[in-house]
Amino acid sequence: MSKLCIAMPPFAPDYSGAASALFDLGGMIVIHDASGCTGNYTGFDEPRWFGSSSAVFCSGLRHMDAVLGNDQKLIEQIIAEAQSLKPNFIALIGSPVPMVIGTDFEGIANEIEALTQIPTIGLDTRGLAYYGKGICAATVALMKKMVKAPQTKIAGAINLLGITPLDFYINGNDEDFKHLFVSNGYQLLTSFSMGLTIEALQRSTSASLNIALSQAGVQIAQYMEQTYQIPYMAITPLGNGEIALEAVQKALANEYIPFVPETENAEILIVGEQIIANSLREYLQRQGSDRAIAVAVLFDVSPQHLAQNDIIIQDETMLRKLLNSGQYHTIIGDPMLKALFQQETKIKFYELPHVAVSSKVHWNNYKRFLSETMIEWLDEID
Amino acid sequence: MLNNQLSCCQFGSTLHYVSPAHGGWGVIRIAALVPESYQLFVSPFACGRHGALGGAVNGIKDRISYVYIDESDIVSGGYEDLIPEAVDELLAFLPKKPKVLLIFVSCLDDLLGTDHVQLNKRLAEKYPEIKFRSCHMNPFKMDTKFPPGVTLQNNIYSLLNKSETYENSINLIGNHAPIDQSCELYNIMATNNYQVKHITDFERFEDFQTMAKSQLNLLLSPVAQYAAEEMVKNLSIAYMPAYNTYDVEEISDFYAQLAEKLHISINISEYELAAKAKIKEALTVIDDYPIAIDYQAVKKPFTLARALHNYGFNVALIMTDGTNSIERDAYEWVLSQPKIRVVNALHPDLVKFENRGQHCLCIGFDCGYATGSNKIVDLLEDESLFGFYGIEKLMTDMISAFENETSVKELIEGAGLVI
Repeated sequence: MSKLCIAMPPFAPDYSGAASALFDLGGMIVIHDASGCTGNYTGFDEPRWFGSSSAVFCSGLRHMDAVLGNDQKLIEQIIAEAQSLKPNFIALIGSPVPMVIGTDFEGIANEIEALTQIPTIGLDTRGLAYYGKGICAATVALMKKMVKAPQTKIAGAINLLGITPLDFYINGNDEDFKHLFVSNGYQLLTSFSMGLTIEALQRSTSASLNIALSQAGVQIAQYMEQTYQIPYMAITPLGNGEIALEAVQKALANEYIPFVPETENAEILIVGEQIIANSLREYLQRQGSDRAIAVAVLFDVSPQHLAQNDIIIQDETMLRKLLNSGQYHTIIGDPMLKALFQQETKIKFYELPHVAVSSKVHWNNYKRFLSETMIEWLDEID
Repeated sequence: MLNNQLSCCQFGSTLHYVSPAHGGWGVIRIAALVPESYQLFVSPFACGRHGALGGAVNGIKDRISYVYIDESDIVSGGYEDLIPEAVDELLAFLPKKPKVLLIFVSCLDDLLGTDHVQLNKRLAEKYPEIKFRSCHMNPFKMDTKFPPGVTLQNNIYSLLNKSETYENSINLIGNHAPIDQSCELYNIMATNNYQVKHITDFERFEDFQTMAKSQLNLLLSPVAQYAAEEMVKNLSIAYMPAYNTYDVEEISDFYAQLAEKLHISINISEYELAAKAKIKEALTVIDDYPIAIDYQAVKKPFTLARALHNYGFNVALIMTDGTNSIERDAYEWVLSQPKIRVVNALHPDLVKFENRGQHCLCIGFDCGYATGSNKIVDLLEDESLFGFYGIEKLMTDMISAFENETSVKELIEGAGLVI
């Protein structure tokens, strides 16, 4: 397998996902690194950072502290700032260097919690996994810390899972998703993670159904299914949202059967996040497209949500070959994929910017998933 | 007025606040100055994200690629073998081979003991037409003698081959952006039949080699001091510190030293008078309006504060990440000034935004962001400014910033900052 990545940027890593999931919760988030990892997150993976008073810090890890295993300095710095800010919780997030020196994040978190009496979580993120893993790890760690006992189930109540700027940017998609369900009479208990509060996190265990809008949401939903016996379904609302509404209605009535797409001899390829791509495919085929559509997943994959002939992208070489294979006449994906096309191509390319790929390079053109503009854009695809 | 009661943000060992205005050229933009060069980063994929996207924002991503390493590569020791394999694959793919391949490793490499000498030897044997350099993107060595900026400057200028002959030219090193052609330095040197060279003058690697023929390196930033010292040893090119300053006397002293060093005649009176006139004009407009200075805007913020104060301006705030050995006297002077507040630009308490809503004219957008001011001079690392011209341009920009509102968000976005 080639590890060479010539044209595409590295995608958003696990520590960005972890920080993103915790961003709105009033905690103090410390990324244990020298500066670049925090810079990845604040500079490129967190569109909410400008003007924000969320407490996200870099530990300023230095070579000698790493070599000597000097965790005490880190602990003292965190405690000093926690006394100043009095956060709801503290999250210590890992990066590649702590991985190599074997930093004990859980142990450090326990020590900080004992000394400050502030709930503290330590996340052993390493910069070797995609953002979805970090979103899930941070959310689950906080649930374990903050949710003392599962609540009584409320019939018909739902949670939305996996809404972070890394998948949906900050152009109103989060509010649109919530509005879709609330305005159609659903009791929305908790929306993860944009706008999430500790109280909302705690009441989320009363839901009867979790709706994962992204693959990161699927990862959280699987934990909640196992721990709190809340079933889940995976769909991203698109266009006028009718497909998602219908699916949720059926799921609450235990009648939901996931859509089985036509993928044989696919002529259309959707490259990107798994659940969004699946939902796009379902929308297009249920709106009458008679073309088979394949999904190429760039990030974390849930095997149960793969259709036949879907592709898990392992590296850039594989992706380059796929895009230029001649099989697809239409490709949908982040604009930075265009760097992989052969110079002369007849492929119709539809741009779907994704923060976890191109960040600020293209986020000003982000789609509003539930909008007339989105419907028009979807109608154009053939 | 700025609130002098604020006592937060002391220096010392703290967590770091990473403002949206934090950043600069980053190693990728600096390395991309080498003509006909290509960059290959070898690191966990996460380490490369900010550089790749920063490269895309700044239009140089097509000269940067990555080799992703994972835990098994680190544990198995297969990491070193990956690099030549990746170089083979990359060079086979690129339509035009670069003249220089800069192989960047990340912080991890400092913990692994990679033999870069052997690695580069192997690569040079296989590709004799290409120069290879191992470069370090290792910010966790920022507190050592060899942080990434210093080693990168040395790697860049180590590409020059010793010349047998020398020309009437001087080099500017340590400044990433070229000095504006309106600067008097060019006229002064031309009058004395000297050419002024900077790395941005060259599109071809071959032409870049002519910097090795210069008689003197003007060192515009301490980040290139080690490179300058190595060039004394390896290229027999002397160097002279010429850190950018906006102090009339310091600039006069610099030109006197330069004249002595090169045995040339320099007359600065015309330029000095023009700079002083501009200072007077700016002071008339800005009067005693508080001024804030940002360490990312200028390399010597304390010196600028002292100069502005001596010209009659009301300097109220300096935001910096620490003291700087090249302006110790100015730093000591600032500490003796009770009306000038010095704030740690990385202190975590900045997230409380306690400096917001305070009126000031900001030189640089890091203090612009912290204060929320809409009077901001768009300046990063003294870019394009030098000498008396630098004073004139800064004064012009201060007047413009004072009279015209600007958006700090737009300035930050336009700067293409890379960490």
